[in-house]
Amino acid sequence: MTRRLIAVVAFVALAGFSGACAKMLGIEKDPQDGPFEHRAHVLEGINCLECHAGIQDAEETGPLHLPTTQQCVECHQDPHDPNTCSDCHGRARTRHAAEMARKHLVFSHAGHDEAGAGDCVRCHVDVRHEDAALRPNMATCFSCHEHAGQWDARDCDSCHVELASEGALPESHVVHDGDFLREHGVQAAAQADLCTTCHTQRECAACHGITVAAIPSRLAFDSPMRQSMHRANFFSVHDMQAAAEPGMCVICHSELFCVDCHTREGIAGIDAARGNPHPPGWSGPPGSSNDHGPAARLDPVGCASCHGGAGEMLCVGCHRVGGPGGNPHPANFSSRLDIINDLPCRLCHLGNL
Amino acid sequence: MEGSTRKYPYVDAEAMIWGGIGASQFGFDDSAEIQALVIAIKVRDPKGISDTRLGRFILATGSVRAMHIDGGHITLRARSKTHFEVFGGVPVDGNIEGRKYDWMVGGRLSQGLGKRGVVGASYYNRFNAGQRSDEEVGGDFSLRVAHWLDVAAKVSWELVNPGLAEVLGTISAQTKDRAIRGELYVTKRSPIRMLQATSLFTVLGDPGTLQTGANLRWRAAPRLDLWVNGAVMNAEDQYGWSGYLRGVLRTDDEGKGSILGELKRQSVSVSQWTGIRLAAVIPLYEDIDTTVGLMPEFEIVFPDDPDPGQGSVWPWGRLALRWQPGKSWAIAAACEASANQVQRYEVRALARVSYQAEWPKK
Repeated sequence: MTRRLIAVVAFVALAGFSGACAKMLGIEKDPQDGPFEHRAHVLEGINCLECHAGIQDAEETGPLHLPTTQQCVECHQDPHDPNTCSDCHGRARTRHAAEMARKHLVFSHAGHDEAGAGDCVRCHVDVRHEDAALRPNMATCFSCHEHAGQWDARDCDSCHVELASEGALPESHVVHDGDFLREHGVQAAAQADLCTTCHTQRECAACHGITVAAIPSRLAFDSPMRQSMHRANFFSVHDMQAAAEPGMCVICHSELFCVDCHTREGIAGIDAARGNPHPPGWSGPPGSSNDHGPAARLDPVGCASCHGGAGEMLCVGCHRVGGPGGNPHPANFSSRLDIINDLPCRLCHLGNL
Repeated sequence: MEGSTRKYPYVDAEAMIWGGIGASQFGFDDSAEIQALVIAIKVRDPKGISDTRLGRFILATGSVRAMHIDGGHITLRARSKTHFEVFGGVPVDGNIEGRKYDWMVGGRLSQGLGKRGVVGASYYNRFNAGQRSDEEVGGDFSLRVAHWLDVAAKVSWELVNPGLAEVLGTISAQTKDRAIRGELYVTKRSPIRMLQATSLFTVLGDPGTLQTGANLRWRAAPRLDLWVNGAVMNAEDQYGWSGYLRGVLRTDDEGKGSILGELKRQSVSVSQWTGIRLAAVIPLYEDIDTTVGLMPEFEIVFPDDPDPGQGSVWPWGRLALRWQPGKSWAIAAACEASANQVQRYEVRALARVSYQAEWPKK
């Protein structure tokens, strides 16, 4: 008896938990949150203009030509509910999306001959298949020559009002999904002019600008979901990231950025308290282990981060031509620099040696 | 202070200028600074045949890596979908670069393939201390092979110290309902070819760094997104790996509230650490005009081999509060605290007040 009671309680608790999870995860939908039954109307052979009367003449502004309850009851003469039909049939957010499209698009149904002929599915192709997809995507627009030409000329403003402030993400081209922070650079490389039709220079410069006031994770400290290259607390791992991806750092920061900051913060390599940061055997006279040589070949940027700029003279002291240090060039080294006049050649190759 | 205007379809103008002053009593530099991040004007031919950007802006096109310059960028478009670009100017000398450049100039030729994508080739040359510092040629493409498949890549070749400077490639695919999206990527960079050619360390040869991996985003439930990422990395002639698991749960259909959890691990060369990150956006109050939200964020880093005296755990946390009393004003404040390899403890207070005005055109 007790076991049975425990099983019943456990079952009820599990059911309650599952129900709560389903609601939390968005799996359990509000029964009133269904899309309008467009497909059923299409299959009945009802022309779109019977409900959306006047849409064929609609210009860029004006009403949305969504059907009213009075229009519905012209056919549904015995409604099952006295309330407004659109309270349950069709989503509020779909109507809101139509309002947003009106606000953000330069679009006139009257300018499209198909609308006048009642051939709405020429553009609203998915209405035949599913109820939720109503608005044509941009790929449908590009099936017309005129719009394809606008795309090629990056003439987005002919259809979009203020893309930069609209904040909509593209659905059918350059999809901003997954780890787009990592992906955006290579996508933008080939079609940067397309990116700038939506994104302002300030957005690019917020990360790539040399004169930023603060990095995005510091300036937008109230947006913790925002992805960025140097996200909050990047400082804790910055030295390890630099070791893992040295080529990444020097795209934006020169090697001198490290020593500048470390000196400013009082944590540069050599100071009275810490002494030389390198282990014994790091450098010495010819014949000694001189561990710095192999280490420098493995991570030259790491060396440059402290010994760059004026610090290079420390290397030149031994590695100049005729000096006690060996030849630092690898076997396959080649350069188009002028050995007499150009840096860094002239530091070591004194007198065209 | 920032502002922008767009006079369709001919002119875009935007500027972002900031000023700051240090307060030595709070431990900051006692200095004043005024800087322009962006001052740019873009003039466009109404038919899209050409556009010209002048001023201070980010130049990024083709295989030319993003560069902050004072200069110009002109694009000409032929009816054959062939685009010609020329650009040039003086690279900006700012607070995060560390070295100055004299000037740069370059160009790009690309061929549009309609809605299928673009293929291009580019060249640029940058001078430093009166001599050639960087000179690169490169190629790039971005193709939408199918409605579910995107492929893009760029390659740049250094001419001063001849060799491969950078390769980036990505292939991404998604299901029709976009419930699942996956990506394969590869990145190869030559650090010494990223350094200015005037650096002595460019003579040491190229150790190269490589990263190749994949990531997958799965919409496990309407409000729940899960990510998994794994990559093989090569640095300092050693192979290693990195990866993360991330989940974001939206607490409402509009995504106004959300909770993030992430576990990350990196194990390559001397970069050996594990991190756990938790963050949330909690809407506290909302009416037609006003919103109030709380944003806690927490991260803890476990380094495998910290140096003596650096501690074995580096926690960081921040609690932010944002109040938007209308569409124009936004007021936010936060307190953050951390312990890391440099500071045993550190506490900071942050605040931001902003006002935005807009003049709609339609």
